[in-house]
Amino acid sequence: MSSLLSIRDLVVDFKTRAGNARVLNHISLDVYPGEVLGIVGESGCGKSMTALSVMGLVPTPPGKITSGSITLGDEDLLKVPTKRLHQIRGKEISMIFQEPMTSLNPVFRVGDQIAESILLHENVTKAEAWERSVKMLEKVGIPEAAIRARNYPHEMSGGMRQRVMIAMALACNPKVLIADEPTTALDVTVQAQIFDLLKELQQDTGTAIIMITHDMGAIAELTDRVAVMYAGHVIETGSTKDILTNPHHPYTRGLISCVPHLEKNPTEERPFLQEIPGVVPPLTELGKGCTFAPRCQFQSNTCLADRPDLTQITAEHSVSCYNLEKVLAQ
Amino acid sequence: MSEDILLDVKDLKIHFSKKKMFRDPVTVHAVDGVSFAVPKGKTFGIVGESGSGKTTTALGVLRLVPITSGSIELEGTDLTTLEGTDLRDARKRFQMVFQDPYSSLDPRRRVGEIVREPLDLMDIGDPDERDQTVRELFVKVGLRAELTNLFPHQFSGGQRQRVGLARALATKPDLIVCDEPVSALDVAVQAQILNLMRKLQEENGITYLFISHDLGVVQHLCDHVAVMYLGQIVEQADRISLFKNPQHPYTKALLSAVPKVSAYENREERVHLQGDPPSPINLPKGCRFAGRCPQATGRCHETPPLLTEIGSGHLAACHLIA
Repeated sequence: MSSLLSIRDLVVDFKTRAGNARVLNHISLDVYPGEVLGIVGESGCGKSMTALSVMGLVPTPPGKITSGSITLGDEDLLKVPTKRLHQIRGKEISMIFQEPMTSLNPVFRVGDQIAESILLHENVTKAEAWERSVKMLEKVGIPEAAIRARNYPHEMSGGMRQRVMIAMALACNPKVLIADEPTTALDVTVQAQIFDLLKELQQDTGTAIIMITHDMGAIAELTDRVAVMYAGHVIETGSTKDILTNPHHPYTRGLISCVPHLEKNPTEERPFLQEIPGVVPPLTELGKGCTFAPRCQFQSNTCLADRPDLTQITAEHSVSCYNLEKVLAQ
Repeated sequence: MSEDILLDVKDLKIHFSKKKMFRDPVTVHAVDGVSFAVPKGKTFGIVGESGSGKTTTALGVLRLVPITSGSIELEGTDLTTLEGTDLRDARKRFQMVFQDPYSSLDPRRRVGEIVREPLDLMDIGDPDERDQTVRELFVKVGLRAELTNLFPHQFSGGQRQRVGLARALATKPDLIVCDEPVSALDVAVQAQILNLMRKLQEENGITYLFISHDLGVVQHLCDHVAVMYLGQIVEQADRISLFKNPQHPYTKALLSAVPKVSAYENREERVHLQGDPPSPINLPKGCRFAGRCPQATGRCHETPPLLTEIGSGHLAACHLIA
């Protein structure tokens, strides 16, 4: 199957006072039609920056896309003129942001905000666009959509606002939807509603979703494939099942086992959580070796001297680590 | 219960009233009749969604918000009636760790001073030895003693939360109230802080009142758990009983809503909850959860259920549990 969106060797640099920070370091990712790709990692690992690069929203300066390509269909999004990018954004690729409170405009009715993107991208009248935005609100499960469309964002709860964001993002039937931590600001019961909604809409429309999250639970619930990122590198990719049941990279393993997972049958025994010692290193001081080496229990001299490449171990599963034998033996 | 009770909260009510011009005064029932007891040396968890009153309960226990009615006893001392110097003296015994390690440390003071401040204010120990005490506290929470001279912005989130813990430990309190202490931290750092909290508890016999919305964390850390919904406890039990055998429909829904790592193979049917919690201003007449409850009957909408014991130490407030 050919990929819908293809990111190749993407490098993004940020100029900071402490020097040049390489926020994304030769990232390659593919998104196939109709799939949900999860990107997971700690804060500062570059997952949001990947999304912003695809959207053409990297703040420049201080940021700069140094090299690489992002292809959608047969167009390189990094080379197309700004005018064309405006046409693509919101129509072919759209995005849901983390904070529904701050990403809606407080002085416009939500219906108008949804209609705006329809008016921009499609040849319709204002009345038709409004009608479609009401339909979209219905589709995302907002009761009394016709009345709710006339509400302002402050009149809605967090979950409703996130639904409005989703309606807005899907209004023009995009090919790719990027969801950047869409539920972090929401309560668990509302989060479950949003996950169900995303799954449902995805099955209806066949939109491919890039789901950015730090929550392995969300990955398990929603995604088909996962890319694990650390300090600007993709360190492991594979099917969700492979990553969760058979993680290879020591960081992926740590990320899964350091979280206290909710168990149905808790026992009296409570071992201490497994820790990943230390913190993510500053991106200005990554050095030559494996970025995870300073925190890794398997580190060897090779790890400190040279950065490992992402190597395929099965058709779908790739990992970048020199000490796989040692890791897997544990 | 045969264990020694450290903190005993009875029928705590915290209402916030606001007078409005030309309109009836509005009352927010943030906490509405909450009772629980925390055994010494254990961790008591309060879970709930935003707006459930869990943080207000914590602030009430710390006497940081005015209490409408009810009593809070810390080993026989009634905290609700203490005022002025007496209250200040009592504060030695209960301290707090805040949610946001970025805004809860004064950016203009060195972390050593921040940790020393409670010692100075409460006049604990010899003034000349306090700096030494601060260094010992730093080591205890896993920071190097030389770091006392740095400012908060020079630390990472996890390190700042360690400073927050050191500050809370400075007065050798019996009770530490933790309001979402790890929710602002990255997952890998979360594990470090949770392990540290358990280690400190084992070493010093501290009691924690732990407020969180993260059920995984609560299951890991707490010995007893209360689930709050709209200012009331709807279910309360020991850790194993609550998670193994949840009774209240809200607890069930809450547990099923948590995304689970095992979900990729059997995406089990969720208990679906519609809508959002009602406003704490115009409370429904009957059970507060009835509007969202998948099993609600006519009676649920009419009379509020009482929190009753349904098994040894397992309490739930629901008409549908016989």
